[in-house]
Amino acid sequence: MIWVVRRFARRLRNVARPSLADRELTREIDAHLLLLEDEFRRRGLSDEDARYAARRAFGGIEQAKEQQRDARSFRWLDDAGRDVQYAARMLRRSPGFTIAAVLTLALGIGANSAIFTVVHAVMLRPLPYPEPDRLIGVVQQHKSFGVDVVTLPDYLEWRDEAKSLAALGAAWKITVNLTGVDEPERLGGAQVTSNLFRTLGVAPQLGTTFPDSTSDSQSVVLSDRLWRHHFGAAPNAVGRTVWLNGVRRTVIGVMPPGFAWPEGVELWIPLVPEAAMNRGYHQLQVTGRLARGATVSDARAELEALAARSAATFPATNKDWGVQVSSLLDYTVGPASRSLVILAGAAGCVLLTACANVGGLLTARALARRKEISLRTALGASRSRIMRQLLTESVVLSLLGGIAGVVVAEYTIPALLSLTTLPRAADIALDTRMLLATLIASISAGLLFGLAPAAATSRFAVSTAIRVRGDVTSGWLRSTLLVLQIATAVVLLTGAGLLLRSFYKLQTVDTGLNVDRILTARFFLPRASYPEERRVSLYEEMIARTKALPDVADAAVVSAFPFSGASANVAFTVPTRPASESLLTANFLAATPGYFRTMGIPLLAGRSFETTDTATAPFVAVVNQSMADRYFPGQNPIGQSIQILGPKPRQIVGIMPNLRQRALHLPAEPEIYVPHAQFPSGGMFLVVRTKDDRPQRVAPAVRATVRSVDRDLPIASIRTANQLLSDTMSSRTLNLVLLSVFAALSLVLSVVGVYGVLAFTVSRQTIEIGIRMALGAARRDVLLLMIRTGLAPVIVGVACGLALAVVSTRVLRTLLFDVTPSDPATLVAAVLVLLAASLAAVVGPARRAANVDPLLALKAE
Amino acid sequence: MTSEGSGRVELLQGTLDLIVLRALTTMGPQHAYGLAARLEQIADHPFSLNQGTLYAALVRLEQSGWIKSTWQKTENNREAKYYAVTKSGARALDKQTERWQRLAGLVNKLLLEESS
Repeated sequence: MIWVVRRFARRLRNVARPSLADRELTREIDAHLLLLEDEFRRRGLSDEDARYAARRAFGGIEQAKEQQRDARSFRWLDDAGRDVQYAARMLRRSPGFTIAAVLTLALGIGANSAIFTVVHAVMLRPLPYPEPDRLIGVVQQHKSFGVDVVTLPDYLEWRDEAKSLAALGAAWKITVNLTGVDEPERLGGAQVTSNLFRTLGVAPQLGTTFPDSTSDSQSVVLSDRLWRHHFGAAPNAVGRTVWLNGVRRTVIGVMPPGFAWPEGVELWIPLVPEAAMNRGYHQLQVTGRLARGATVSDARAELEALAARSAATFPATNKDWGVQVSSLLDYTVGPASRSLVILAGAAGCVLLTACANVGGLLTARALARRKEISLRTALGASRSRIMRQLLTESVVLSLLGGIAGVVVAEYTIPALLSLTTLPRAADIALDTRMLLATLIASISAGLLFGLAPAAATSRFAVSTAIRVRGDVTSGWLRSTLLVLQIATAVVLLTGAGLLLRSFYKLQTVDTGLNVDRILTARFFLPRASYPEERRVSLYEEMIARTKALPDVADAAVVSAFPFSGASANVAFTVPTRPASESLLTANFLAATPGYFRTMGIPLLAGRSFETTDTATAPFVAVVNQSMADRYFPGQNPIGQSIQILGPKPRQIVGIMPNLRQRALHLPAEPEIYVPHAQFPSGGMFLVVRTKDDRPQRVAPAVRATVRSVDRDLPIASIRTANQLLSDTMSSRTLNLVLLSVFAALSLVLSVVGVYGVLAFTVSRQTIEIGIRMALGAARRDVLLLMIRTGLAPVIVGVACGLALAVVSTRVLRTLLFDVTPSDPATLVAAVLVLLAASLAAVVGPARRAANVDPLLALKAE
Repeated sequence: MTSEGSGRVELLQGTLDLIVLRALTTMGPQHAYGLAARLEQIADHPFSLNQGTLYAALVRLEQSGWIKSTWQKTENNREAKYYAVTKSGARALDKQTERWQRLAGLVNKLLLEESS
C-alpha cells in the first residue's frame, strides 16, 4: 500500500505550491482544447464552430480544474491556509480589538497553564521509581488522635508477615549536622531499613547501599547534590569519611539525581532497630511494594487484620490503632491535592470568563462585519465556508493568546511556587507537555468562544443585511455570555471572600504571644560532640554573650518555639493515680530559666524556673492552663507530681497561660515545660528579645556571637518569630492569593463585558433614543432605561451565581477557619462588589445615551 | 449514482481510474484527448463523458505512481502531455481488476436477489 503514502505526500506537497500545479494544468487543458478543435475542423466545422464544439465536448473548464485541484491536494488545508492569512489581515486591521482579546485570553490561558503545570508535577506525574503503581504508603490511624507515622515493632510485623507485599521499607527522618567537609551543613537525613532502596527500586549511581545485616552503623549514602557539592562529583568519594552529628561515617554510595525519599532528605544511614523498639513511639515513614498481582485493597485488608491482632495483643499501646494504606502517590501528595483541585477549578472559571468575554467582543464585531459577510454570501460562499473562516479567525486569536499565555505562565510559576511548600514541587517548570496542553487549550478555547458568534454571524443573508437594522440572535447571545461571566465572577468572588475572612480571622487569633521583637536561631547539638553537661554550659555562655549585645533586651533557650513544628507529644503518668487505660499525653518542652520572661509570658500561678533548678536539684515542671484543665480538673496542679521521660517524678511548680503551639487553627494543647538543665536536649532555639521592633537587624550579631562561642556549630536558621508564624500560613497564602487574583481577573473581565455590551447597545440604538427624545422622553428617563438595560443581565447573572456559589463553595470547607461555606456576609459582599462595579461600568454609556441630540441622531439616518 | 440529463454518465470514483489505467495499458502512451476519444469510442456514444473529468482521475493515478507523464509533440506538431503506465501501475491494474470483478459480482448478485 505504498501508493497510498506516496499519493498522500504528493497531495500535501501540492498544498504548499498550488500555483505551479495550476499553471501546468492550464497548459495541459489548453493543449487538449487545441487537439479537440483540430478534430472538429477536420470534420468540416469552421474555426469558430470548432472552438465552440471543443468547449462543449470538454465540459466546464473551471469545474474540471476544481475537480483536479480537489484530487491533487487537500482542499480544506488549502482553504485553511488562505483563511489564516485572511484572519491575520483582519486582526491587523483592528489592533484595539486584537490586543484586548489576546490579552484577555493570555491571562485566562496563562493562569491555566501555570496551575496545570503545578497540578501535573504534583498530582499526575508518576513517581520517579520503576513500576510506581505497585508502591504504597502506610500510616497508622488512631480512632481519636488521627493519623500518625508507624512504630518500629508494628512495621517489623508487617514486613515479616504481609504476603501481599513484595517488600516493605521504612525511614525515620532526622536532621543532622554534616561536618568533616569544607562547609558544615545542617540538613535533612533519614535512618532507613536496608531494604528501602530495593523497595523503591532505585540503585545507587555510585557504590552500594546498606547490606541486610543491621550491625553496620558506620556507613552513609549521599544524595547526588551532596556528592557534587562536597566531593566535586569525584568517583573516589566512596570510601571517604564525613562526620554526622559528631559521629564518623564512611560514604558507601551515592544515589542518582532526583532521588529524595522521604522528601527533602539528602543522606541516608542505617536504621538501628534496638534504639526504638517501643510500641508507643510513632516515627517511621513506611512504604511498600505490592507483590505481583496484589492490589492496594489486598494490602489494606491484610495490614488491617495485623493491626487488629496487635490491638488485641497489646491493648496498652495498640488499642484503637488501625492502618491506612494508599498508593504512594496519594501518600506523598496528601492534602495538597485538594487545594490544587480547587485552584485548577478556579483557573478554569477564569478561562471560561475570558472566553465569554472574547465571545462577546466577536459578536459585537460580527455586526460591524455584516456587509462583508453578506457580500461573500452573495458571491456564492456557503454558510459552512463562512463559518469555517470565522472560526479560523477565533482560533488564530486564541493561539496568539496561548503564546502570550505561555509567557504569563513562565513568570507566574516561580511566583506561585515561592508562595507555597507543595510536595514534589522541586523541579517544576514548563515543558513540552505543558506547551502541548496549552496548544490544545488554546484551540479548544478558540472554538468555544468562536462557535456561537460564527454560527450567528454566518446566518446573515443578503436580504437581512440590507433590510434589518438591529439583529435579534446576537443580542441574546451576548446577554447569555454576560450572564455566564457574571455568575462565574460571583462564585470566584465568594470563594476568595471566604478565604479572606478565614485568613483575617486566623491573623487575629490570640496566640498568647507578643512576638514583634523576637528573633529565633535554631541549633542542634549532637550527643557525640556535645555531652549533656557541655550542652548546659554552652547554652549558658551563649545566652550570657547574646544578652550583652547592645540591641538585645533578653535571651533564653527553648526546645520548641511556637509554630516551629519542633514540639514533641510525649506520654506521661501521674504516680499518685492508678494506671488508667487511656494514654496521658502533652507537648514536652525544655527551657532555660529566662524563657517566660523573654517571651513576655506572665505565669498565672506558682513560680518560673530558677538557676537553682539544676540536674541535681529536685525535678520541677511548669504546665499550661490547658494541661491543668484537662488533667487536673477542679484541683490545684501546683504541688502535684508527674512522671515523664525518665524515672524521677517531677513536681509541678507553676502554671502558664495557653500558647498556640502547632497551628493557629488548632486549639491550644496541654504543655509541660521542664528546666533545660534537667533535660538538656540537643535541638534548641535561641530566643532573643530586642529593644526595638526590628529583630531582624540583630541577626548578624547573633550569628557572630554563636560563632564566637563555638565555631563548629552550624545554625540551621535564623528567623523572626513573625516569619515562623507566617510560614505556618503559607499553604493558606497560596490559596488566598491565587483565588483573589482569579476573582479580581474575573471581576474585571465581567465589568468590561457589561460595559462593552451596553456601549454597543447605545451606539446601535442612537436613532431609537433620538426618536424617543424627540417624542418627549426626558434625559432622566433615557438614563434610567439604559441603566436598566445594562443591569438586567447582571441581575440574572448574580442570581445564577449565588445559587452556584452556595453549591460550589462547599469544596472549600476544609480550607476555612471559623467561617461557614455559605457565610451570608461574604455572599452579600461579593454581590455588592459586583453590582457596584457593574453600575460604574453602566453609567458611562448610559450618560452618553442621555446626551444624544435628537436632531443629530435623526439626521444620521 | 445520479446521471445528468443528455445521457452523460458520472462514474464511481474508482471506476474511472480503473478504466483510464486499463485504456493506457492497451493503447500505450496517450494524451488526455486521445484517451477521451478512445473512451467515447468504446462507450459507443460520442458525448458520454465530459472530457474535463478525466483530469482528476489522471492526477490521482499519477500521484499514486501508477502512471507517469511527459510533454511530447503529436503527429500534427501540437504539444501534449502523454501519460504512460508504470511497472507498479501494471501490477496495480491486475489487483484492481480482480477487486472490481469481485465487487461487480457481489453487486450483481445483490441486485438479482433484490429483484427476484
